Amino acid sequence: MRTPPGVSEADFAKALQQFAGVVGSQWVISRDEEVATYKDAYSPLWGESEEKVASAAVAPDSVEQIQKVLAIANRFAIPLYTVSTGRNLAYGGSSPVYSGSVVLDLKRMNRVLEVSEEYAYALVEPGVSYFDLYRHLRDKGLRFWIDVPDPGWGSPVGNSLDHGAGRIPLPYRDHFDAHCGMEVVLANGQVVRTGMGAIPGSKLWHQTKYGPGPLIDGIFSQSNFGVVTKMGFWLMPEPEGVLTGRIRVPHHDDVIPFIRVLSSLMYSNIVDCNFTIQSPVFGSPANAEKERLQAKSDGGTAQEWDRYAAAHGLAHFWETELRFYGPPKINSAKWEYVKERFAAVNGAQFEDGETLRFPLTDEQINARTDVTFYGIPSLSVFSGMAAGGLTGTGAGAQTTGHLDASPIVPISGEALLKAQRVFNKVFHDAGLPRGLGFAMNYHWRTFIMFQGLQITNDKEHNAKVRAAYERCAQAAAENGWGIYRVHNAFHDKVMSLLSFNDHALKGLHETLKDALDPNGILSAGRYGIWPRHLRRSQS
Amino acid sequence: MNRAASRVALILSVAAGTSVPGTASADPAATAKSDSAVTAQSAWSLSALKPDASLKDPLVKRGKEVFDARCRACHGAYAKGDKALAMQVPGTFALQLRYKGQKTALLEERTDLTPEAVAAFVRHGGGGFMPAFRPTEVSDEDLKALGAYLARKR
Repeated sequence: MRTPPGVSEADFAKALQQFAGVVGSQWVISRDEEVATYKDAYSPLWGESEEKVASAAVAPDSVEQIQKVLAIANRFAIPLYTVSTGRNLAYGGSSPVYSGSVVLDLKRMNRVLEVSEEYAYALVEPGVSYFDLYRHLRDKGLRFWIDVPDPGWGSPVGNSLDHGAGRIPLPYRDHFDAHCGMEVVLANGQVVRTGMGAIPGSKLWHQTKYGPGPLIDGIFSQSNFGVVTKMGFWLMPEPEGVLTGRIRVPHHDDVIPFIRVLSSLMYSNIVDCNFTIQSPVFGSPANAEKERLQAKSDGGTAQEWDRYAAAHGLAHFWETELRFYGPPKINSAKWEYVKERFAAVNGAQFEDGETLRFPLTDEQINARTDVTFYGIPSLSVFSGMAAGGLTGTGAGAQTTGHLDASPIVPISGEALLKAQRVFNKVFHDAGLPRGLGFAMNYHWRTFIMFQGLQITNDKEHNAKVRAAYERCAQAAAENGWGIYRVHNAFHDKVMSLLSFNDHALKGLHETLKDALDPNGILSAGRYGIWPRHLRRSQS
Repeated sequence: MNRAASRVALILSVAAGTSVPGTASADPAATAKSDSAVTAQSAWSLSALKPDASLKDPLVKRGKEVFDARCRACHGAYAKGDKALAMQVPGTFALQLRYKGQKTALLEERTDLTPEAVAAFVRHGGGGFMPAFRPTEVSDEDLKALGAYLARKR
């Protein structure tokens, strides 16, 4: 058995024994074979000495048990690492940032505590998955939608705290933005409720994010300042229907007016759906001419790319698909208005898509391949890996996982074109095929440009992948962009790029850490925030 | 855990994804909670199973509930005849690619699975993109039941 760094075997044994006294011996996981299930299944450090590994895990079932576990951890200086459903694959899964930590596994806390039909919210514990919440609503016949990330086995609490997002309209799609009110256990065991939840008997905890005083919820996301034990989430009433429409434009530079119109429609709440800007030209199969253009220092001029498209019979350079959610009459009116606005873009073409009415029958659901756009959880995203990986089949090594080095970039055609050039170069220089690379509006007013990287069982390849990941983050920062969410092998690197005013933000994080968790027992190193005693050696 | 070694050690070449929620527990109250959570995993993931007499065994019945809750979203069936629909259940899809029609990709239709092989895949992962499952996701008791279900005599 491994012991946490700096903790004696005797103290660790006592701590585990005391944990067992709180949660029951079954829920202290310390046998090597079972502790290994906490490894990051998609680790870019797989098989390396630096691979992130836990020493044990403890799985409480209640707030009271968490309070007792924290007291024991404080007593013996045991580093804990909190996970909810532990399925944050591509971002570290259930593995700790600081190897040797004891995973505080909240999967057993899986209760849907309340669903308010009147105020359209749900209150859930961290171990509830999107599948659980979807099933709960469906089983109770409640006509609400949740927004789901692509893999549905994650936790609304954990995913929102890591700034995850999904597919249905805003504000629901941005999971942290869709939360309202949380309960947090601080390192000293004190239980805090945020916003109006601090009023005993509050009737507003999950209706308004604001209480009198600071809005403090944000400090518990992508951090390690407390253990979040409850979160409220706003639910979207099931719409009457969805209308789908597609827009295409013919030329390389059309992307600039195309996105200018689209973003204006988004800022006006006419377009509130998740959309992806795709290029049938950039997305076409690789060939020598395409590679030659991409390798040029200017990434290929607009004229060169337009000639390439014409030579390959590609009639459209850019396209997107929009969905309008709501009463059919309003959906149709919005789509007609969108077409009017796009008349300003030369050569824009429109295609009316399907019209759906809700609720869908089971048969309809079973026949669809896009269920996440309708708030239905799925795991289908993993089929991309089964089909040969997100970035091609590589050098014959077996795909065992993936990473997303995904920067947020401004929502403009100019930024999108620049980002295509910047990241093409990163992948070209790294000698790796570029995966994904499309731009999507996950959060408000920005694009995320997904950069898929494939983890394999080839260590040499994985070393290249790690270097490319770091280079993506660095290249993003050099252009004033940032990474939206970070695999736990790269937290220090990515946070080091937030260097404005001599890393003042990091200093603020550390001030908060010292005040809220003076013994440094909670999730050391998460998003580059280390407790005082590990700062010099780790960051 | 060396993944390659763990895979070689497995008797059968099952593979691929899996899924989700609930929590199993030896604690009676928690078990009750778990039972309520273990209903159909996903309404759109079809069952390949035709009920048979083996489901009268409480352990096998419990195993089916575990499969519904944690495995079906990846290893379920799909409306036939379309690759895009097969990709809705990535575990089934991956096994189709692997077996190329030599045997069924649907775990519930297999007759050559053993409880030991099922346990190895759940605890060690499938070697590809299927991760290992923690005891808080599939408890030892539920793992026994799942093994009994997938290895049941029919």
